[in-house]
Amino acid sequence: MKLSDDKLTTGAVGGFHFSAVRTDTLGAPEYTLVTLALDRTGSVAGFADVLFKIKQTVVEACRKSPRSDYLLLRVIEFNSAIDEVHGFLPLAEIDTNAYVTPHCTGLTALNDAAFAAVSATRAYGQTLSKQDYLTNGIVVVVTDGDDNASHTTVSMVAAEVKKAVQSEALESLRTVLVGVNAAQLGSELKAFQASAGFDQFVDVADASAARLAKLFDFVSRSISAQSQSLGTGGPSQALTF
Amino acid sequence: MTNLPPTLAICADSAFVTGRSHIDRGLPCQDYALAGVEAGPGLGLGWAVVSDGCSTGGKTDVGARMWAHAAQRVLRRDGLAALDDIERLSQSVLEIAGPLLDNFDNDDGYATLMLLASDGLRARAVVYGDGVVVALKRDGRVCFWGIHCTSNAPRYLNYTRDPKAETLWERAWGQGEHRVYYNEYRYEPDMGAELLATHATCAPAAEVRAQVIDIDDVPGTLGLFICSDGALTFPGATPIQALLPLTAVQNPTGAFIQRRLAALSRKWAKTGDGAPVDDLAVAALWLL
Repeated sequence: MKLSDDKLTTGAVGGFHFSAVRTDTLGAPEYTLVTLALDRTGSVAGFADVLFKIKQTVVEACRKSPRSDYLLLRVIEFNSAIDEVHGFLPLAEIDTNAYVTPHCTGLTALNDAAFAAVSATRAYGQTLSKQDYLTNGIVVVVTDGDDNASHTTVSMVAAEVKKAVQSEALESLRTVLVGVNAAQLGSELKAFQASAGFDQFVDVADASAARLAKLFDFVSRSISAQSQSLGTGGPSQALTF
Repeated sequence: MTNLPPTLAICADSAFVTGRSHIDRGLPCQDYALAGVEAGPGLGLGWAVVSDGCSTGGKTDVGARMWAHAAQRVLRRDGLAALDDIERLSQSVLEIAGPLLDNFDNDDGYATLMLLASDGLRARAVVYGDGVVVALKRDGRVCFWGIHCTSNAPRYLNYTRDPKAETLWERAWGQGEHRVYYNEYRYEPDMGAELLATHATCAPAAEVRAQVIDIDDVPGTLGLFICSDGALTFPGATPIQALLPLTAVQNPTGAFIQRRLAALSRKWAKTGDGAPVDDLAVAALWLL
């Protein structure tokens, strides 16, 4: 990413590290913290280029949003481990040319990814809130499979989601689980959504070009809607896929 | 003089919120504020303007905005020197605001006007009417000047556009008192606010066209604020209790006053009380 390290701050929750732009570079009165968590396990190796495109397309779509100046985007990728592609950054600071096609391998630490995404949102939201910024968040987790490699449990994810929602740090938090090519695991992912306290489960079915185009549109509209809800006291309404 | 490194940058921001009495009566916010930094030699010029429309006037929300925009144009054009000569300042602001206000009823223009400017070495505020000027010192002192008309009939600059109205004002309110009370506190978050000094000056209102406040030791100053008199209408709060939260800037980047007032507004909404009774406008300069 373009941003130099001296413009970044770091934090850690539950052993998961995150980075974010330093608050003394943020001029707006309010921000929506957006996290995109992308599965890069061995089972998605067949559509690694699609995962690469999701990152680029979501950033480009968010840039066109009337709320683009009020979004801070973090992208993480997960398999057995969590890798931060970049921390919470203003869209203008994100160089999509620096994105690379993920190397897809390993198992699915879905719980860890969800926990890392939500906890970082809450923690950074708290930092912003202490400095008078009004913040809310949206976490979108894209996966093709159920958890089989996490250290954290689904109940820990649920507790973190609850904490984030109840905390004073975030005005609201919207959590979306997206299943891609997950027809066989649809019921497991639905169960994860319910147990983890995620707001919405979206089954994209196959990773065809048409379905993915719809997914990109859905994700960017969801981000925009959540940002527009900032200041209303609650989250945006769940959009239909 | 405080022995401190020179100021490195000036940040500026402003915001305004509607008071409870205006919400209850269906009135718009009649306060207005602007602030900015003009590029120039050294640190450039930090400028701030607040205008408070008279609630018993006409469409003074419009008038307040015209006065504020006229004042900011003068400050940006003439710099800190604009505040050195009150008669010339009045004339300069009138030359811009007057033709705009000519399109409106006379009572639409009844609004106070506060101007503040600093180049990081010197700072001056000029107040037509009433309001509060606050200086946060780097050593933890909070100094503020409350400018107050005992008749609660401020001498608006708009009177100079209408000699009849000015004569009426002089007859009715000119013998009232124009008071400036100065308070200096030392504030520490754990210890609270301790009063260090207080004094007041008083003059017949008719003798004061505008109040000039010179801020001493600007390099030793962290934040400069001008606030409409709404800052002193928090129920049950003393002036220092009202001003401390307003000036508790956490991070002087970008929209720092907007964020501060928004955070306070959220708190007032949550607790159901604590909001100012009158409209409130705040404009500030932060000297990094």
